[in-house]
Amino acid sequence: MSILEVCDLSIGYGKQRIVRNVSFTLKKGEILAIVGESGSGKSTLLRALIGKTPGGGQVNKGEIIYENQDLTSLNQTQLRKIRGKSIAMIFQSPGGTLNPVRKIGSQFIEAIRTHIEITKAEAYHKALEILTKLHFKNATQIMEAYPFQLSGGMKQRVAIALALALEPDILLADEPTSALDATVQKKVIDEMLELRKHFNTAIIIVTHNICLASYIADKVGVMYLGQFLEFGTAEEILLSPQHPYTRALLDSVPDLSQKKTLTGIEGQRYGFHELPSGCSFSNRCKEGGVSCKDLVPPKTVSDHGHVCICNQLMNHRQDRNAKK
Amino acid sequence: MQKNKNKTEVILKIEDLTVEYFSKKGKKRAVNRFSLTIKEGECVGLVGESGCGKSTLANAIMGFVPFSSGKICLKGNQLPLKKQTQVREHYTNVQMIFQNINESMNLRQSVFDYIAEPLRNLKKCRGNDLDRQVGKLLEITGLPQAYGGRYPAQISGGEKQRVVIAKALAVQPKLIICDEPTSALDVSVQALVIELLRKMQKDQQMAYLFISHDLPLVSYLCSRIVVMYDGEVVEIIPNVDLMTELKHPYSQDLLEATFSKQSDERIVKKQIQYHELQSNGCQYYPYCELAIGICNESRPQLKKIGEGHEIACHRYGGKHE
Amino acid sequence: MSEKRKNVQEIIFYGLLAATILIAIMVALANQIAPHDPLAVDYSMILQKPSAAYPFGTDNMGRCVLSRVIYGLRSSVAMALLITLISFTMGTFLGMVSGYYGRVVDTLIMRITDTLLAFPGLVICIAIVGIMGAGWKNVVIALAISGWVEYARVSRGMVLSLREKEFIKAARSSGCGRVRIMIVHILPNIFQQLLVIATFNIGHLILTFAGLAILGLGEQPPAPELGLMLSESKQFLQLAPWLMVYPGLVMFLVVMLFSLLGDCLRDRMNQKTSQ
Repeated sequence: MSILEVCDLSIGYGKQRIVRNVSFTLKKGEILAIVGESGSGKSTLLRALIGKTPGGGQVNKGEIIYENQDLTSLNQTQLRKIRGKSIAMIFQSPGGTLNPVRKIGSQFIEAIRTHIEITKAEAYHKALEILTKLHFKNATQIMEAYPFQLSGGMKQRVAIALALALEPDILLADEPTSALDATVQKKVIDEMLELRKHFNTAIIIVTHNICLASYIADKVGVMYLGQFLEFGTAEEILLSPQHPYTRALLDSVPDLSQKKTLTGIEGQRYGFHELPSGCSFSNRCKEGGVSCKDLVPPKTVSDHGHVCICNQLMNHRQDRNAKK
Repeated sequence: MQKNKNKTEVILKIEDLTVEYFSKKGKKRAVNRFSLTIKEGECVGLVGESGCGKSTLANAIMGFVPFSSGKICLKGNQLPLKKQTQVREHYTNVQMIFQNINESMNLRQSVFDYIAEPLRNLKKCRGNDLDRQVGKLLEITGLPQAYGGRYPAQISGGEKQRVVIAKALAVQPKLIICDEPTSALDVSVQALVIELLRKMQKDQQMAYLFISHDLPLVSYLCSRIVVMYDGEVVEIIPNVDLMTELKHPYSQDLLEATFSKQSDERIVKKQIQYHELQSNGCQYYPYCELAIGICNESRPQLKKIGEGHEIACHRYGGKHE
Repeated sequence: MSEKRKNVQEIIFYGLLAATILIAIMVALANQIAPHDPLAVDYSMILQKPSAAYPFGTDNMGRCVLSRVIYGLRSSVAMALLITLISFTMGTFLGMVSGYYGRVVDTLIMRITDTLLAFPGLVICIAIVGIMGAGWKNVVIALAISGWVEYARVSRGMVLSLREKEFIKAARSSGCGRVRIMIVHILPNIFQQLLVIATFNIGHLILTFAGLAILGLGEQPPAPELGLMLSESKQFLQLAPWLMVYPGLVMFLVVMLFSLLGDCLRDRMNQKTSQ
């Protein structure tokens, strides 16, 4: 059963459209990763889901359907009730969500009591319960600590716990581990996987690391200049990518086990103000044709829901079949 | 490793280097008894988490940070540098590529002036010769000639890093220190920069000290890999092919933490136990899953356990095996 | 920020700039613009109301107030610029040296600034002018001595943060000496911020200069000086209010102009750095 449905969503700043025609559905307990490079509009999309488009951005088109209501039509007061309680969010900087001058415990209590009417003592116990569920060894100590007394990884774990305090249906994570060290990053990611098991929370994670995305997520959307160029299961994206951009992205990542020349992607991406009528990746695409710039790429959906927006898709398939 | 035996010259020799910082809490050792030699044309990767002293080490080699004990010797030049001629010579031998692309260029200096600066100061290059040399550097780093007149605000991050690389190459140094040169770039751009670095190394036979927290990236570019934890070397492997042979618990954690393109298995590891550290024990003891009694009591020393493979762990080498 | 608001800000900035240039031209061409000699005494025209011949009226000695205001403004602006130039150069130089060299030099220069900051600026001026005697040269010296401190402190702070930036390290590894780093790499990066402070200071200095004249420490009569004119007009306040109103108004406008210009400059710079 899907709990969040995004249909044809477009977000713009003035005349520039930062997010264009994005659609996806999220099932309960499912993890969706949005992969994209800087400036691809991935964070804007994520923020729009809780009605917080940054700095003057506006939803121009489309719907975000959660529990039979369209979030784009709600006002801020109505959204505030949903935020935190049903849809929670964590950010990139570990502890950016934590107030540096207040104890972790009191922040937990405040977060819980804003949405549920319980006493402070009850809220305290609830917070302890969550921390223990998330395997914090010294939960009581952490409740008494200030954010600066915790390490970066620990802060991010606490921020996740805080976001989960009200057992939301959906957790939005904006680059939750990119500020952390490799070993810590893995631990936080593993923990997010585990809490999905515990609470059956659906997670949308935004990241620039395609390998991380396919490790954690069930479904991956590859975003480029505000569009999902490819959308499919993590396995498909990683092992049999369809879109030239996804392939180029994967070829840019060094791997321990295989030594292949890194190719990278040459050139500059289009600015949002100078997007061509056709494919937005056409100027950097190695596999595209001359007409790609002007020809609007068709949206190809396979039988099991793998989406790819590319003009050359048919040709590629034929090519590869021919090779086989 | 074997083929390097034909008497290549040692460029950089670091012995027992210790760098200390003074803070309110007292002395903090950023780098502790660090030793390393780099030979001509060799690529050494230095891996470790943030705050483990990687950047401090780089700054110490460049002469930006004073060190309290030990020896740094670069092509016969002993640090700290005293005379101006010594400084000049030092910087013709070693150059650095920085991590923070937005801070590594003076916002009010054109690309041309930026690249020309070391040529002017160190090689006393002037006039037409200078124009020609800068033009050549722009060309080999894949930048259009017109970029010479641009300012940092007018070019993208990847291009900035190319400019920084061009500047580092200008004096044809023997060693280039790369301090996380791509951590601020997108992967697609990172790949281009890394390929450029690799090509430069092949063409000009320079040595690299490549500092990063990204193990796959380091293994892609480097032959020898040094793993650093909390200011100390915990493991050295002579060859990337021995990557899977990494034995130190921290190295293993690092290996496990990398997301591979192939494996799709999600092995959620058991929860880490946190031990209290006694000051004289192993630095990694608090996080180590394989710790044994002695780990808390004495600091392990680097021991040789194979050809060029050294490790600082009580579980390997010596009587505790 | 919306496009519209940006445009309005742009218009305001250029308007202010135009006004500043206008004033500059006016004071530079004071000889041509002023209708009368500011010192010419005419006892037949004492305390005349503003008229076509004397747009701002005349004072108790029959001198043209407009001419005196123009000349007064000239000396005020020139003085303010001179003092700013001196304290800017001195303060920036000492601040940069202090920040870049650190250690003993830093301690020494900073303790001097601390000492100077411990006294209110005006008190130092009065003391210095009191010892050395009144007159514009001594006023310039006095105000320059108390004025450089601000530039020194601000530039030192900026140098301290710039010093750790990677481009300075890059410059060092390019073989740049300390002097070259300071002139080529640090100064251009702090110049704009210091210019904003200087703009604010010009207005402030015009006021201080007038204040000292009122106290009898600056220019001496019969020189045309705004502060002096205000001070002299006190006795005729009820009889001839234009004597006070016009110089006061002009001073107010000029000081405000420089303050607003400083504000605009700062906003523009913030925009640039945040982009």
